[in-house]
Amino acid sequence: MKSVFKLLIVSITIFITIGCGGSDPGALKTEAVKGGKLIANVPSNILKSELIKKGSADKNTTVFGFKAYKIPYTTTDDNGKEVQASGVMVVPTSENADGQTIQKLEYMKAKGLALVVDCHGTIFSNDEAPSVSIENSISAKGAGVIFSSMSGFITLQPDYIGFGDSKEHYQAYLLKKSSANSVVDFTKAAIAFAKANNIPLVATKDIYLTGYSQGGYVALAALKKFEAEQYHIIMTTPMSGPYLLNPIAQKVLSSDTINVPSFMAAVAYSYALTYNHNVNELIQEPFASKLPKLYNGSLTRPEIDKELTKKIKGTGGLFTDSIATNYQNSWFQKELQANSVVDFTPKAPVEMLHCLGDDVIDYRISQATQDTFVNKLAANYVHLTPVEVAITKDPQTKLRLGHIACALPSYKVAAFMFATMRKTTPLGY
Amino acid sequence: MKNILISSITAISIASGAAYKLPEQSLKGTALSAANVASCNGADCAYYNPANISFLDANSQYFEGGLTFIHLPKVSYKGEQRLISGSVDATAKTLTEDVAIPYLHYVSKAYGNLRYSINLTVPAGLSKRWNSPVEKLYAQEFTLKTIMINPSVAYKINSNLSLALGANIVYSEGKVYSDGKDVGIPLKREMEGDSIDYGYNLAASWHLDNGLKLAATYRSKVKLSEEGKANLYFGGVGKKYDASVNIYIPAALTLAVSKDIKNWTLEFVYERTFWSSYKTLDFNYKENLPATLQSFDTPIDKNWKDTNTFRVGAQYRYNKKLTLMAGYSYDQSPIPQKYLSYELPDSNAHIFSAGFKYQQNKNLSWGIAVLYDYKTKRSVDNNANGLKGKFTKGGAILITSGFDYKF
Repeated sequence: MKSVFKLLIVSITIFITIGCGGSDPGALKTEAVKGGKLIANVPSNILKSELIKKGSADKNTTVFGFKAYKIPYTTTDDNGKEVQASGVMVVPTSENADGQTIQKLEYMKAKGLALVVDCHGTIFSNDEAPSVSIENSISAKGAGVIFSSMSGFITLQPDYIGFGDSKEHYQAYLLKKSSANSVVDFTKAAIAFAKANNIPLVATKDIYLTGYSQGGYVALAALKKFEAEQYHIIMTTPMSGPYLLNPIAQKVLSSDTINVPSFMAAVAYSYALTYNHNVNELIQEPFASKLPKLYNGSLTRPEIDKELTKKIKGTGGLFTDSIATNYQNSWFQKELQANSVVDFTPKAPVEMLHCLGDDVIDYRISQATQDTFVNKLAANYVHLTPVEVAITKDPQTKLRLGHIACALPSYKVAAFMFATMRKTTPLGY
Repeated sequence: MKNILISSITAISIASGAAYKLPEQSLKGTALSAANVASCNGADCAYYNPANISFLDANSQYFEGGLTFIHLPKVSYKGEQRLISGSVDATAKTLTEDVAIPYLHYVSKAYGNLRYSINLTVPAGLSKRWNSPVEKLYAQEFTLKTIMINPSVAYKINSNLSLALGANIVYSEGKVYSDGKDVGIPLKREMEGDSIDYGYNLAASWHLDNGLKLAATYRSKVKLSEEGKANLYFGGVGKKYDASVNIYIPAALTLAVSKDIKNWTLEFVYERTFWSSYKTLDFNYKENLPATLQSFDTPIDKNWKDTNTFRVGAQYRYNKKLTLMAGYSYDQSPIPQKYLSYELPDSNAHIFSAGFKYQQNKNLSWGIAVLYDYKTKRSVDNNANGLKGKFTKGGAILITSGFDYKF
């Protein structure tokens, strides 16, 4: 009988011992980089076949692959508080590319790659932040593909304060200082990252600056700071941005309804927190109490819009009667005016793009911006092109694109402008 | 220590039976091609037919231990593989596999009409490793290791009839590695999981007075609920996920008849294995996978079929000390041609075996057996996994060395 128990004990010991292991393949073997993290690597062949499927390329189009790195950076918000944030650097690669594409990229790398700093448009969900969304999708769209894979630039996309690593902070929405700080501080961190990881940035660190919608506003805010800090800005292409916040708010508050209430509610919420006011001074209940939850980074714009109202004022309206009737004398008006990004004289050329058919930010905002830059601030070169005209090459075109539909063609026009401009620089390609 | 145990005890990544079943669990099991059900008369009845332990010497205990060395030659594939970019030549060979697996069987004395047994065996296992560009995309390594403890109790109804009931406690480890980098597909998977699962077994033996022995055994399906982690990569960028997958050790019904004729014992076994419960291979993840990794979350159709296996075994008592044994079985593959894939390019098998057992003294005997598993060629076309070609070679060679101790 003893022997039976001995056998049992041996068997069970073996069983238990081996039962404790073998359920984990071990550490991930993602390529290590200094001062950041590789978050996406899309080879040329995969990206090209997807672009061909979407009709954005054909078999003769040069399509580079890309690697995307998440890079942490430190910045400061409007109140001088230090914020740990993040952003993405997208670098063109020739993995699984044909011989001609490999050769072309090698030539460009030998001379150095220029930077495109792309400022993203309005987002509310953290999943849409550049450093988060690129990790989850390789769908052939986005600035990284247009600028890096189709045009051979290194693309930088900062997550603004409120997203990515700084998601615990409220979104610093349409705030000039925070916006400019995050873009410039991220660019500095990205340049240091490139150096640490032998990414072949052109020695003169040429920067092409762009952004759509909120990103257009941020691009101009950043341009002022970049130029003040002597960065080598080759060209800026702000696209369809709300550069003049005061007239936009004035127009909204004098209207009865608004199609997309989440934008103005976000401005009110962000400004109340930044300038230490009670949001109830601007937004009526029950909406005011909902704002912390609506803007905590978990919801998308359509989800937030459903929780708000399209009615601007009066009973059941979004804004308080007090702000609707006394806007001109309010702190809100003063701060919006102060956050206008049309308050400096750009040195580098500015090629503004805006769709004539924009249904969210009126084309006239860009016209007024250009007019102010040229006629009041004596800017050297600020030019405005309607996107419909740029893509049809017909000044009389009847084509009209709304704010959403305008984004992709705007980026393609900007990429063309940047590539054309690059040929005039010492890079020459 | 743990790693040593895993590699030496559960390095059992083989499949000498159809699909990934392993029926050779003792010296006689190997020598007789597992035609050792109705006639078994030693400790290995604990596995093959625990009802038979009632008919062993009531005052003795029985122990058997041994090792089976298994050599799996390369499987060759000559043909094409359909990829998204078109068909490519996928002609290649697997790596060879060489492993040793242990077994232990014990049968107690009789306690009245009751008697118990216990065994430690490896009821199933699989390993296919490919190092060729195309095949690596699907099965760089596909491994299933199992180890089972199987206690049983037998009740002797009368001097002719016995019934038995047992529990099957199975520990398993699964490993799935794949890598498409060499064919321009930037997907890579490193997945490992383990599980402890349960089943049962039943057995009945009827020994007729004319020397004819009849037996029926049934071993239930064991659902191996592998749970673990998966490192999934797109373009070399990986993320770790909680992952799980269900694999089955199928239920099996065995009907056996044996007859002693002078110095000979002959046995015929019919085995029905219920593979049809294996419909899909469906990996599950605790969180949603991004679009880039969706192909790892797509269920793979298997649609396996129930199979028949026919076994015959012959034992010849040459003298009081030496017994010679030989066996043959025909084993059907459960995998329809449409669903054949690289992780298990199985085909019907003809199995030939032989061995001997030598009685050293009144307590101890020992022996050696060898088994050759010949896999038939398998053509594949209109295949759901995109294969068009032919699998050849493969099979298995087993050498078992074991001893019996009666005390």
